[in-house]
Amino acid sequence: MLGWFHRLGSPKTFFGMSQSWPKTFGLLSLLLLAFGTVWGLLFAPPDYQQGHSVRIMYVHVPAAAVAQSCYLIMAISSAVFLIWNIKLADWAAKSMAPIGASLAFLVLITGAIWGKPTWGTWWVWDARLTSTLVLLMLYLGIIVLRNALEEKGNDGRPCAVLALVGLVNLPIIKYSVDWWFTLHQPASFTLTEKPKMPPEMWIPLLIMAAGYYFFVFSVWTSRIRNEIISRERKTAWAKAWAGSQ
Amino acid sequence: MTFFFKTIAREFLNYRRKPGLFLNPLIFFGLVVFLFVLGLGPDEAKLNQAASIFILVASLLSVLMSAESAYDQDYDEGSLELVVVSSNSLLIYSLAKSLAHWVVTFLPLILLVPFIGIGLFLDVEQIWVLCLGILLVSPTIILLASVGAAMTISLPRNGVLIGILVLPFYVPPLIFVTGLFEAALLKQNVFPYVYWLIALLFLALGLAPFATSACLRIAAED
Repeated sequence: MLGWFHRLGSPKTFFGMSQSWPKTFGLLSLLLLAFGTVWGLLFAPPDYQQGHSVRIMYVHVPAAAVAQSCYLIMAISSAVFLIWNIKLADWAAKSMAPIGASLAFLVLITGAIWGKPTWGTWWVWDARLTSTLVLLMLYLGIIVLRNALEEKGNDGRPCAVLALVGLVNLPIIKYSVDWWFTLHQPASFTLTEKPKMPPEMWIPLLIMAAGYYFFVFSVWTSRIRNEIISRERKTAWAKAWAGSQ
Repeated sequence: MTFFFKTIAREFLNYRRKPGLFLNPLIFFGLVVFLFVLGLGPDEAKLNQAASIFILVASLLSVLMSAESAYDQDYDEGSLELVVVSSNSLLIYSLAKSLAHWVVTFLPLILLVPFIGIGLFLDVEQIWVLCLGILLVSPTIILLASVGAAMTISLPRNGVLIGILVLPFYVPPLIFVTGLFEAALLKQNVFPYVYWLIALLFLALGLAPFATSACLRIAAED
């Protein structure tokens, strides 16, 4: 088991292992997202207060959960890189940053679109919205620092430190709706209680969340593969692979 | 312990030899406040509400200016590598640098604030609260800026880059300081915000030096 992880750290082995991953994960994600979208848009019940505008929840909520998970994955990759000096972990973190940034942006946009009919305003400076905006700014900061470091040819370790330093934001986002009573509604899902919505609503939500996760894995592995083949393009195995394409 | 004091003494010697290192950010601070005030206009009521925030944000921006050169000089002349390979603690080094940085950046600023406040039509209580707010938030700001400076040591134009990296972390202290100002304005109890700011200060004091010294070690080993 540990041997599998150890082999995973070699770019060549990872490249070979992950050949089918982008397509497989992508197909799974397409199926799940299609199923979840159709269920959520057509068959799920409308909310008793919000009517049909609640259906954007099926886009907004999974995106929010996955954007935060992406940051956690990026932070874990950065920690692995800092502790064990596995370069592939650094490339994995680099590949995850734009994905997480796009998802965070999607969360803010869909949240604003949802907020206008339900709350009457596009934006409010409450705890959860502000800390999600801070999450987007952290992602952008990591991308900017990475570009600046690569321009100069330095390695990505300051970026890894930045990713870990920004990890303090994640509990703040998650618990901000519990700590401060603000406009954004509190959590509907906890590990310990029954969910506050009926199964007809939370099952498509989970399907959409699974679809988002598979989408992220598909794009992430595809980007890592890009990174590997671009950085290792002078090696024999990379030339052989390129020749066989 | 002597390493701590020696580093501080060295920093002060450096600032005495190159006064521009701390005077330029101070002048920048004054100019930024001036621009904000010109933008808002001479209306006393509006200035009363907004002046504290202008002064605070201008001080945040001027810290970025002075943080830029905090570690660059040591890195360029090679003394950073000496500190890293010596048996001295990088934590003590970064703490000493941050303390010296705080003294030369925020002490003049806090002394200037009453005069600027009078010019911006703040009354005496507001000026006291402004000084208290800046005093409480400034160590956090300096420590976070030192993390940003350590991350971007060898990069060109790193003042702007430090800003991009560190300003998201300035958001929580800024939120609590503005809460402090508002509570003072409405004659409410300011102590919840004071405690929050002190909590953030200890959080930064406990965590930021580790991040700074990790980045310094990375930079020296390159």
